[in-house]
Amino acid sequence: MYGFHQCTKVYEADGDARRILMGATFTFGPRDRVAILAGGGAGKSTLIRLMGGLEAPTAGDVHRPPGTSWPIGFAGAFHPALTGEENVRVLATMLRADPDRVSAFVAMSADLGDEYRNALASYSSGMRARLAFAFSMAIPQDFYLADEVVGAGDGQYRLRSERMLLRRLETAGLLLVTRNPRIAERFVDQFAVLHRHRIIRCATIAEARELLAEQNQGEDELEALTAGLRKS
Amino acid sequence: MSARGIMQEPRGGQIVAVMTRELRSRFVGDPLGYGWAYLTPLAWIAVIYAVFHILGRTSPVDADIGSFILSGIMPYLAFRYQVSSVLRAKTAYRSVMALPAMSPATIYAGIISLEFYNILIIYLALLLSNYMVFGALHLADPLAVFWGFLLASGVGGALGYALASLGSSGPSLTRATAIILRPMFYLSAVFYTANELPREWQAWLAWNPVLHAIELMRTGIFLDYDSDIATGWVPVVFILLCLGIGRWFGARSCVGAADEPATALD
Repeated sequence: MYGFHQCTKVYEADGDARRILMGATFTFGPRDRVAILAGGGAGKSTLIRLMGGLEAPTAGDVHRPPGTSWPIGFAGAFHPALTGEENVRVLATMLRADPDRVSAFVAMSADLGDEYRNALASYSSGMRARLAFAFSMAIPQDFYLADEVVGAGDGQYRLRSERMLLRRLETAGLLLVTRNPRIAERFVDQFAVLHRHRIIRCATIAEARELLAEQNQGEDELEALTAGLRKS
Repeated sequence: MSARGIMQEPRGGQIVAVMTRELRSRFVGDPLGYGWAYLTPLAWIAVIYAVFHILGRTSPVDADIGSFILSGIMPYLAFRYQVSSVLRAKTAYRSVMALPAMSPATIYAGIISLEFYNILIIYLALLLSNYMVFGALHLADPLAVFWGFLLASGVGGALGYALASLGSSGPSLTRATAIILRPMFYLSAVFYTANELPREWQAWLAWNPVLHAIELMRTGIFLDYDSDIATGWVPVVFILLCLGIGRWFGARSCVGAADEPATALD
Protein backbone atom coordinates (compact mmCIF):
# COMPACT_ATOMS: atom_id res chain seq x y z
CA MET A 1 0.00 0.00 0.00
CA TYR A 2 1.13 3.55 -0.73
CA GLY A 3 0.65 6.79 1.13
CA PHE A 4 1.69 8.32 4.44
CA HIS A 5 2.99 6.14 7.28
CA GLN A 6 3.34 7.73 10.74
CA CYS A 7 4.22 10.84 8.79
CA THR A 8 5.06 14.16 10.40
CA LYS A 9 5.76 17.33 8.48
CA VAL A 10 6.65 20.50 10.33
CA TYR A 11 8.09 23.71 8.89
CA GLU A 12 10.22 25.69 11.27
CA ALA A 13 11.18 29.29 10.67
CA ASP A 14 12.30 31.97 13.10
CA GLY A 15 11.44 29.81 16.08
CA ASP A 16 7.87 29.21 14.87
CA ALA A 17 6.71 25.72 13.97
CA ARG A 18 3.99 25.24 11.35
CA ARG A 19 2.55 21.76 11.70
CA ILE A 20 1.06 20.10 8.64
CA LEU A 21 1.08 16.43 9.60
CA MET A 22 1.64 14.87 13.03
CA GLY A 23 2.14 11.12 12.87
CA ALA A 24 -0.46 10.78 10.12
CA THR A 25 -1.11 7.42 8.45
CA PHE A 26 -3.20 7.19 5.32
CA THR A 27 -2.78 4.52 2.66
CA PHE A 28 -4.25 3.72 -0.75
CA GLY A 29 -3.68 1.34 -3.65
CA PRO A 30 -1.75 2.15 -6.85
CA ARG A 31 -4.97 2.50 -8.91
CA ASP A 32 -7.17 4.14 -6.26
CA ARG A 33 -8.74 7.54 -6.83
CA VAL A 34 -8.56 9.42 -3.55
CA ALA A 35 -9.34 12.97 -2.47
CA ILE A 36 -8.06 14.68 0.65
CA LEU A 37 -10.23 17.66 1.53
CA ALA A 38 -8.81 20.52 3.55
CA GLY A 39 -9.43 24.18 4.17
CA GLY A 40 -7.19 27.01 2.98
CA GLY A 41 -3.69 27.01 4.45
CA ALA A 42 -4.04 23.54 5.98
CA GLY A 43 -1.17 22.12 3.92
CA LYS A 44 -2.79 20.67 0.78
CA SER A 45 0.13 21.60 -1.46
CA THR A 46 2.55 20.12 1.07
CA LEU A 47 0.77 16.76 0.81
CA ILE A 48 1.25 16.87 -2.97
CA ARG A 49 4.90 17.89 -2.63
CA LEU A 50 5.47 15.00 -0.23
CA MET A 51 3.74 12.54 -2.52
CA GLY A 52 5.52 14.00 -5.57
CA GLY A 53 8.89 13.46 -3.91
CA LEU A 54 9.72 17.16 -3.86
CA GLU A 55 10.01 17.20 -0.09
CA ALA A 56 10.91 14.66 2.56
CA PRO A 57 8.82 14.23 5.72
CA THR A 58 10.16 15.48 9.05
CA ALA A 59 9.47 12.02 10.50
CA GLY A 60 7.88 8.83 9.19
CA ASP A 61 7.61 7.56 5.61
CA VAL A 62 5.91 8.49 2.37
CA HIS A 63 5.40 5.59 -0.06
CA ARG A 64 4.78 6.82 -3.60
CA PRO A 65 3.11 4.62 -6.20
CA PRO A 66 5.35 3.71 -9.16
CA GLY A 67 4.87 6.00 -12.14
CA THR A 68 3.70 8.95 -10.03
CA SER A 69 3.29 12.09 -12.14
CA TRP A 70 4.26 15.67 -11.42
CA PRO A 71 1.21 17.72 -10.25
CA ILE A 72 -1.35 18.10 -13.04
CA GLY A 73 -1.07 21.51 -14.69
CA PHE A 74 2.32 22.21 -13.14
CA ALA A 75 3.84 25.02 -15.26
CA GLY A 76 6.91 25.69 -13.13
CA ALA A 77 9.27 23.73 -15.37
CA PHE A 78 8.45 25.85 -18.44
CA HIS A 79 10.96 28.55 -19.34
CA PRO A 80 9.41 31.90 -20.39
CA ALA A 81 12.10 32.55 -23.02
CA LEU A 82 11.32 29.36 -24.94
CA THR A 83 8.28 28.92 -27.16
CA GLY A 84 5.46 26.66 -26.06
CA GLU A 85 6.65 24.08 -28.56
CA GLU A 86 10.31 24.27 -27.48
CA ASN A 87 9.31 23.91 -23.84
CA VAL A 88 7.19 20.86 -24.59
CA ARG A 89 9.87 19.20 -26.72
CA VAL A 90 12.66 19.82 -24.20
CA LEU A 91 10.60 18.61 -21.24
CA ALA A 92 9.33 15.58 -23.16
CA THR A 93 12.94 14.58 -23.87
CA MET A 94 13.80 15.09 -20.21
CA LEU A 95 10.92 12.75 -19.34
CA ARG A 96 12.23 10.21 -21.86
CA ALA A 97 9.10 10.54 -23.97
CA ASP A 98 8.92 10.96 -27.75
CA PRO A 99 9.05 14.77 -28.30
CA ASP A 100 7.29 14.57 -31.71
CA ARG A 101 4.36 12.61 -30.35
CA VAL A 102 4.05 14.73 -27.19
CA SER A 103 4.30 17.99 -29.12
CA ALA A 104 1.66 16.87 -31.62
CA PHE A 105 -0.69 15.93 -28.76
CA VAL A 106 -0.16 19.28 -26.98
CA ALA A 107 -0.52 21.30 -30.20
CA MET A 108 -3.82 19.58 -30.86
CA SER A 109 -5.28 19.64 -27.34
CA ALA A 110 -4.04 22.93 -25.85
CA ASP A 111 -5.97 24.99 -28.42
CA LEU A 112 -3.24 27.61 -28.72
CA GLY A 113 -3.15 27.91 -32.52
CA ASP A 114 -0.07 29.73 -33.84
CA GLU A 115 0.70 30.99 -30.34
CA TYR A 116 2.13 27.53 -29.66
CA ARG A 117 5.21 28.67 -31.59
CA ASN A 118 5.57 31.96 -29.71
CA ALA A 119 7.62 32.62 -26.58
CA LEU A 120 5.89 31.58 -23.36
CA ALA A 121 6.53 35.07 -21.95
CA SER A 122 3.82 36.39 -24.31
CA TYR A 123 1.18 33.91 -23.05
CA SER A 124 -1.72 34.92 -20.86
CA SER A 125 -2.14 32.94 -17.62
CA GLY A 126 -5.03 31.03 -19.22
CA MET A 127 -2.90 30.01 -22.22
CA ARG A 128 -0.11 28.94 -19.93
CA ALA A 129 -2.54 26.86 -17.88
CA ARG A 130 -3.88 25.16 -21.03
CA LEU A 131 -0.36 24.37 -22.21
CA ALA A 132 0.60 22.93 -18.80
CA PHE A 133 -2.56 20.88 -18.55
CA ALA A 134 -2.23 19.50 -22.09
CA PHE A 135 1.41 18.59 -21.38
CA SER A 136 0.32 16.75 -18.20
CA MET A 137 -2.12 14.73 -20.27
CA ALA A 138 0.27 14.10 -23.16
CA ILE A 139 2.39 11.52 -21.36
CA PRO A 140 0.20 8.85 -19.74
CA GLN A 141 1.10 8.21 -16.12
CA ASP A 142 0.25 5.39 -13.74
CA PHE A 143 -0.68 7.68 -10.85
CA TYR A 144 -1.69 11.34 -11.03
CA LEU A 145 -1.31 14.06 -8.43
CA ALA A 146 -3.66 17.04 -8.48
CA ASP A 147 -3.38 20.13 -6.32
CA GLU A 148 -6.88 21.56 -6.94
CA VAL A 149 -6.23 21.51 -10.72
CA VAL A 150 -8.37 18.96 -12.58
CA GLY A 151 -8.92 21.01 -15.70
CA ALA A 152 -7.90 24.24 -17.42
CA GLY A 153 -9.49 27.21 -19.13
CA ASP A 154 -13.20 27.89 -19.01
CA GLY A 155 -16.42 26.99 -20.77
CA GLN A 156 -16.15 24.26 -23.39
CA TYR A 157 -12.39 23.94 -23.01
CA ARG A 158 -12.72 23.26 -19.29
CA LEU A 159 -15.24 20.47 -19.90
CA ARG A 160 -12.98 19.03 -22.58
CA SER A 161 -9.92 19.09 -20.31
CA GLU A 162 -11.83 17.43 -17.48
CA ARG A 163 -12.96 14.72 -19.87
CA MET A 164 -9.35 14.26 -20.92
CA LEU A 165 -8.37 13.64 -17.29
CA LEU A 166 -11.30 11.29 -16.68
CA ARG A 167 -10.19 9.25 -19.70
CA ARG A 168 -6.66 9.01 -18.31
CA LEU A 169 -8.09 7.96 -14.94
CA GLU A 170 -9.76 4.93 -16.49
CA THR A 171 -6.42 3.19 -16.14
CA ALA A 172 -4.59 5.28 -13.54
CA GLY A 173 -4.83 6.30 -9.90
CA LEU A 174 -5.26 9.83 -8.54
CA LEU A 175 -4.54 11.70 -5.35
CA LEU A 176 -6.46 14.97 -5.39
CA VAL A 177 -6.19 17.61 -2.69
CA THR A 178 -8.93 20.20 -2.74
CA ARG A 179 -11.15 22.37 -0.60
CA ASN A 180 -14.08 21.74 -2.94
CA PRO A 181 -16.11 18.56 -2.20
CA ARG A 182 -17.99 18.88 -5.49
CA ILE A 183 -14.78 18.54 -7.51
CA ALA A 184 -13.73 15.60 -5.35
CA GLU A 185 -17.04 13.88 -5.96
CA ARG A 186 -16.60 14.08 -9.74
CA PHE A 187 -13.13 12.58 -9.90
CA VAL A 188 -12.65 10.16 -7.01
CA ASP A 189 -14.44 7.48 -5.06
CA GLN A 190 -12.50 7.58 -1.79
CA PHE A 191 -12.53 10.55 0.55
CA ALA A 192 -10.53 11.85 3.47
CA VAL A 193 -10.14 15.10 5.37
CA LEU A 194 -6.95 16.70 6.63
CA HIS A 195 -8.11 17.39 10.16
CA ARG A 196 -5.93 18.48 13.09
CA HIS A 197 -2.74 17.38 11.29
CA ARG A 198 -4.09 13.89 10.60
CA ILE A 199 -5.73 12.45 7.52
CA ILE A 200 -9.13 11.07 8.50
CA ARG A 201 -10.68 8.56 6.10
CA CYS A 202 -14.40 9.07 5.47
CA ALA A 203 -16.83 6.42 4.26
CA THR A 204 -18.84 8.85 2.13
CA ILE A 205 -18.53 12.32 0.64
CA ALA A 206 -21.30 13.46 3.00
CA GLU A 207 -19.19 12.47 5.99
CA ALA A 208 -16.18 14.26 4.49
CA ARG A 209 -18.27 17.38 3.86
CA GLU A 210 -19.46 17.35 7.47
CA LEU A 211 -15.97 16.99 8.88
CA LEU A 212 -14.67 19.74 6.58
CA ALA A 213 -17.54 22.05 7.58
CA GLU A 214 -16.81 21.38 11.25
CA GLN A 215 -13.17 22.21 10.66
CA ASN A 216 -14.01 25.40 8.74
CA GLN A 217 -16.41 26.46 11.51
CA GLY A 218 -13.70 25.92 14.10
CA GLU A 219 -11.33 28.05 12.04
CA ASP A 220 -13.97 30.80 11.65
CA GLU A 221 -14.55 30.86 15.43
CA LEU A 222 -10.80 31.04 16.05
CA GLU A 223 -10.49 33.87 13.53
CA ALA A 224 -13.37 35.78 15.19
CA LEU A 225 -11.75 35.27 18.59
CA THR A 226 -8.38 36.51 17.32
CA ALA A 227 -10.03 39.53 15.68
CA GLY A 228 -11.86 40.27 18.93
CA LEU A 229 -8.62 40.06 20.91
CA ARG A 230 -6.90 42.40 18.45
CA LYS A 231 -9.73 44.96 18.79
CA SER A 232 -9.68 44.88 22.57
CA MET B 1 10.03 6.36 -14.21
CA SER B 2 7.56 3.66 -14.98
CA ALA B 3 4.95 5.68 -16.80
CA ARG B 4 3.51 4.01 -19.86
CA GLY B 5 4.16 4.95 -23.47
CA ILE B 6 7.63 6.15 -22.73
CA MET B 7 10.62 5.54 -24.96
CA GLN B 8 13.63 4.22 -23.11
CA GLU B 9 16.08 6.74 -24.52
CA PRO B 10 19.58 6.83 -23.12
CA ARG B 11 20.22 9.32 -20.37
CA GLY B 12 22.34 11.24 -22.89
CA GLY B 13 19.11 12.52 -24.45
CA GLN B 14 18.15 14.15 -21.15
CA ILE B 15 21.59 15.76 -20.86
CA VAL B 16 21.25 17.17 -24.39
CA ALA B 17 17.76 18.48 -23.46
CA VAL B 18 19.24 20.35 -20.49
CA MET B 19 21.95 21.80 -22.75
CA THR B 20 19.33 22.87 -25.32
CA ARG B 21 17.18 24.57 -22.68
CA GLU B 22 20.21 26.35 -21.30
CA LEU B 23 21.46 27.47 -24.72
CA ARG B 24 18.09 28.91 -25.70
CA SER B 25 17.34 30.62 -22.42
CA ARG B 26 20.61 32.02 -21.10
CA PHE B 27 21.21 35.75 -21.65
CA VAL B 28 17.77 36.08 -23.29
CA GLY B 29 16.58 39.69 -23.44
CA ASP B 30 20.13 41.05 -23.60
CA PRO B 31 21.13 42.63 -26.92
CA LEU B 32 24.49 40.83 -26.86
CA GLY B 33 22.77 37.55 -25.99
CA TYR B 34 25.01 34.52 -25.78
CA GLY B 35 27.96 36.73 -26.79
CA TRP B 36 28.40 37.44 -23.07
CA ALA B 37 29.72 33.92 -22.63
CA TYR B 38 32.63 34.96 -24.91
CA LEU B 39 33.02 38.57 -23.83
CA THR B 40 33.53 37.90 -20.13
CA PRO B 41 36.79 35.93 -20.56
CA LEU B 42 38.06 38.67 -22.88
CA ALA B 43 37.43 41.22 -20.11
CA TRP B 44 39.39 39.09 -17.61
CA ILE B 45 42.30 38.78 -20.03
CA ALA B 46 42.26 42.51 -20.74
CA VAL B 47 42.41 43.35 -17.02
CA ILE B 48 45.33 40.98 -16.34
CA TYR B 49 47.14 42.24 -19.44
CA ALA B 50 46.72 45.82 -18.21
CA VAL B 51 48.01 44.91 -14.71
CA PHE B 52 51.06 43.17 -16.26
CA HIS B 53 51.69 46.24 -18.40
CA ILE B 54 51.35 48.70 -15.49
CA LEU B 55 53.58 46.65 -13.19
CA GLY B 56 56.10 46.05 -15.98
CA ARG B 57 55.88 42.28 -15.41
CA THR B 58 57.19 40.08 -18.20
CA SER B 59 56.27 36.53 -19.12
CA PRO B 60 58.00 33.99 -16.81
CA VAL B 61 58.06 31.43 -19.64
CA ASP B 62 59.66 31.66 -23.04
CA ALA B 63 56.58 33.07 -24.74
CA ASP B 64 54.68 36.31 -25.29
CA ILE B 65 52.58 37.78 -22.45
CA GLY B 66 49.29 37.09 -24.24
CA SER B 67 50.02 33.37 -24.54
CA PHE B 68 51.17 33.20 -20.90
CA ILE B 69 48.04 34.95 -19.60
CA LEU B 70 45.86 32.65 -21.70
CA SER B 71 47.61 29.59 -20.22
CA GLY B 72 46.55 30.63 -16.71
CA ILE B 73 43.27 32.43 -17.07
CA MET B 74 41.48 29.94 -19.33
CA PRO B 75 41.74 26.87 -17.09
CA TYR B 76 40.97 29.10 -14.09
CA LEU B 77 37.83 30.39 -15.83
CA ALA B 78 36.89 26.81 -16.76
CA PHE B 79 37.03 25.99 -13.03
CA ARG B 80 35.24 29.15 -11.92
CA TYR B 81 32.47 29.01 -14.52
CA GLN B 82 31.71 25.40 -13.66
CA VAL B 83 31.26 26.14 -9.95
CA SER B 84 29.02 29.13 -10.64
CA SER B 85 26.89 27.43 -13.27
CA VAL B 86 26.24 24.32 -11.18
CA LEU B 87 25.25 26.46 -8.19
CA ARG B 88 23.05 28.62 -10.41
CA ALA B 89 21.42 25.52 -11.92
CA LYS B 90 20.43 24.35 -8.45
CA THR B 91 18.05 27.30 -8.22
CA ALA B 92 17.23 27.81 -11.90
CA TYR B 93 16.30 24.15 -12.42
CA ARG B 94 14.45 23.56 -9.14
CA SER B 95 11.13 23.18 -10.97
CA VAL B 96 12.63 20.90 -13.61
CA MET B 97 13.92 18.65 -10.83
CA ALA B 98 10.25 18.21 -9.85
CA LEU B 99 9.75 16.11 -12.96
CA PRO B 100 10.07 12.37 -12.52
CA ALA B 101 13.16 10.93 -14.25
CA MET B 102 15.09 14.18 -13.83
CA SER B 103 17.69 13.90 -11.11
CA PRO B 104 19.89 16.79 -10.00
CA ALA B 105 22.90 14.78 -11.24
CA THR B 106 21.43 14.68 -14.79
CA ILE B 107 20.87 18.43 -14.75
CA TYR B 108 24.35 19.15 -13.43
CA ALA B 109 25.85 16.81 -16.06
CA GLY B 110 24.08 18.81 -18.80
CA ILE B 111 25.20 22.13 -17.38
CA ILE B 112 28.80 20.98 -16.88
CA SER B 113 29.00 19.55 -20.43
CA LEU B 114 27.69 22.79 -21.94
CA GLU B 115 30.04 24.91 -19.85
CA PHE B 116 33.01 22.74 -20.85
CA TYR B 117 32.08 22.98 -24.52
CA ASN B 118 31.68 26.77 -24.24
CA ILE B 119 34.99 27.45 -22.55
CA LEU B 120 36.84 25.08 -24.89
CA ILE B 121 35.45 26.92 -27.93
CA ILE B 122 36.39 30.25 -26.36
CA TYR B 123 39.93 28.99 -25.70
CA LEU B 124 40.36 27.77 -29.27
CA ALA B 125 38.99 31.07 -30.61
CA LEU B 126 41.42 33.04 -28.45
CA LEU B 127 44.35 30.82 -29.47
CA LEU B 128 43.48 31.45 -33.10
CA SER B 129 43.08 35.20 -32.52
CA ASN B 130 46.46 35.35 -30.75
CA TYR B 131 48.04 33.58 -33.71
CA MET B 132 46.36 35.76 -36.34
CA VAL B 133 47.04 39.09 -34.60
CA PHE B 134 50.41 38.49 -32.93
CA GLY B 135 51.63 35.43 -34.85
CA ALA B 136 52.05 33.53 -31.56
CA LEU B 137 50.84 29.95 -31.23
CA HIS B 138 51.99 27.70 -28.38
CA LEU B 139 50.52 24.22 -28.31
CA ALA B 140 53.38 21.80 -27.67
CA ASP B 141 51.26 18.86 -26.55
CA PRO B 142 47.55 19.27 -27.39
CA LEU B 143 46.55 16.15 -25.45
CA ALA B 144 48.24 17.41 -22.27
CA VAL B 145 46.52 20.77 -22.78
CA PHE B 146 43.16 19.06 -23.13
CA TRP B 147 43.85 16.94 -20.02
CA GLY B 148 44.70 20.02 -17.93
CA PHE B 149 41.65 21.84 -19.23
CA LEU B 150 39.44 18.85 -18.52
CA LEU B 151 40.82 18.58 -14.97
CA ALA B 152 40.26 22.29 -14.27
CA SER B 153 36.71 22.01 -15.56
CA GLY B 154 36.15 18.77 -13.66
CA VAL B 155 37.40 20.26 -10.38
CA GLY B 156 34.96 23.17 -10.81
CA GLY B 157 32.02 20.97 -11.75
CA ALA B 158 32.66 18.51 -8.94
CA LEU B 159 33.14 21.28 -6.37
CA GLY B 160 29.91 22.93 -7.56
CA TYR B 161 28.08 19.60 -7.24
CA ALA B 162 29.39 19.05 -3.71
CA LEU B 163 28.51 22.61 -2.64
CA ALA B 164 25.04 22.36 -4.20
CA SER B 165 24.36 19.10 -2.37
CA LEU B 166 25.77 20.43 0.90
CA GLY B 167 23.57 23.50 0.44
CA SER B 168 20.50 21.22 0.27
CA SER B 169 21.32 19.85 3.70
CA GLY B 170 22.05 23.23 5.21
CA PRO B 171 21.59 26.37 3.09
CA SER B 172 24.14 28.34 5.09
CA LEU B 173 26.85 26.03 3.74
CA THR B 174 26.37 27.53 0.26
CA ARG B 175 27.75 30.76 1.65
CA ALA B 176 31.10 28.98 1.93
CA THR B 177 31.34 29.29 -1.87
CA ALA B 178 32.51 32.88 -1.83
CA ILE B 179 35.05 32.10 0.88
CA ILE B 180 36.46 29.23 -1.21
CA LEU B 181 36.40 30.92 -4.61
CA ARG B 182 37.81 34.33 -3.82
CA PRO B 183 41.37 33.30 -2.87
CA MET B 184 41.58 30.64 -5.60
CA PHE B 185 42.48 33.25 -8.20
CA TYR B 186 45.57 34.20 -6.21
CA LEU B 187 46.50 30.68 -5.10
CA SER B 188 46.24 28.86 -8.43
CA ALA B 189 49.25 30.06 -10.48
CA VAL B 190 47.00 32.05 -12.80
CA PHE B 191 49.37 34.98 -13.29
CA TYR B 192 52.61 33.31 -12.13
CA THR B 193 54.07 29.82 -12.45
CA ALA B 194 54.50 27.32 -9.62
CA ASN B 195 58.21 27.10 -10.52
CA GLU B 196 58.66 30.77 -9.53
CA LEU B 197 57.49 30.09 -5.97
CA PRO B 198 59.74 29.31 -2.99
CA ARG B 199 59.84 25.62 -1.95
CA GLU B 200 57.70 26.16 1.19
CA TRP B 201 54.99 27.90 -0.80
CA GLN B 202 55.05 25.13 -3.38
CA ALA B 203 54.52 22.58 -0.61
CA TRP B 204 51.47 24.45 0.67
CA LEU B 205 49.96 25.24 -2.72
CA ALA B 206 50.45 21.63 -3.87
CA TRP B 207 47.18 20.92 -2.03
CA ASN B 208 45.32 23.14 -4.49
CA PRO B 209 43.83 20.97 -7.30
CA VAL B 210 43.23 24.00 -9.57
CA LEU B 211 46.93 24.88 -9.45
CA HIS B 212 47.81 21.36 -10.63
CA ALA B 213 45.31 21.55 -13.51
CA ILE B 214 46.66 24.93 -14.61
CA GLU B 215 50.27 23.81 -14.35
CA LEU B 216 49.55 20.60 -16.29
CA MET B 217 47.92 22.63 -19.03
CA ARG B 218 50.80 25.11 -19.07
CA THR B 219 53.30 22.26 -19.36
CA GLY B 220 51.37 21.05 -22.39
CA ILE B 221 51.22 24.50 -23.96
CA PHE B 222 54.84 25.60 -23.71
CA LEU B 223 57.62 23.44 -25.09
CA ASP B 224 60.22 24.78 -22.62
CA TYR B 225 58.07 24.75 -19.49
CA ASP B 226 57.97 21.77 -17.17
CA SER B 227 56.18 22.27 -13.86
CA ASP B 228 58.09 21.16 -10.74
CA ILE B 229 55.01 20.07 -8.84
CA ALA B 230 52.14 19.37 -11.26
CA THR B 231 50.43 16.00 -11.02
CA GLY B 232 47.04 14.81 -12.19
CA TRP B 233 46.43 12.83 -9.00
CA VAL B 234 45.54 15.81 -6.81
CA PRO B 235 42.71 17.05 -9.08
CA VAL B 236 41.52 13.50 -9.79
CA VAL B 237 41.31 12.62 -6.08
CA PHE B 238 39.65 15.98 -5.36
CA ILE B 239 37.05 15.36 -8.09
CA LEU B 240 36.28 11.88 -6.74
CA LEU B 241 36.04 13.23 -3.20
CA CYS B 242 33.64 16.00 -4.25
CA LEU B 243 31.51 13.59 -6.29
CA GLY B 244 31.30 11.29 -3.26
CA ILE B 245 30.32 14.18 -0.97
CA GLY B 246 27.79 15.44 -3.53
CA ARG B 247 26.26 12.01 -3.94
CA TRP B 248 26.10 11.36 -0.20
CA PHE B 249 24.53 14.67 0.76
CA GLY B 250 22.38 14.76 -2.40
CA ALA B 251 20.91 11.36 -1.52
CA ARG B 252 20.18 12.56 2.02
CA SER B 253 18.28 15.61 0.82
CA CYS B 254 16.29 14.22 -2.10
CA VAL B 255 13.48 11.78 -1.87
CA GLY B 256 14.32 9.35 -4.65
CA ALA B 257 12.41 7.30 -7.15
CA ALA B 258 8.66 6.86 -6.92
CA ASP B 259 8.76 3.27 -5.77
CA GLU B 260 11.29 3.96 -3.02
CA PRO B 261 9.92 5.21 0.30
CA ALA B 262 10.75 8.76 1.24
CA THR B 263 11.98 8.56 4.78
CA ALA B 264 12.53 11.42 7.15
CA LEU B 265 16.04 12.80 7.31
CA ASP B 266 17.61 12.39 10.70
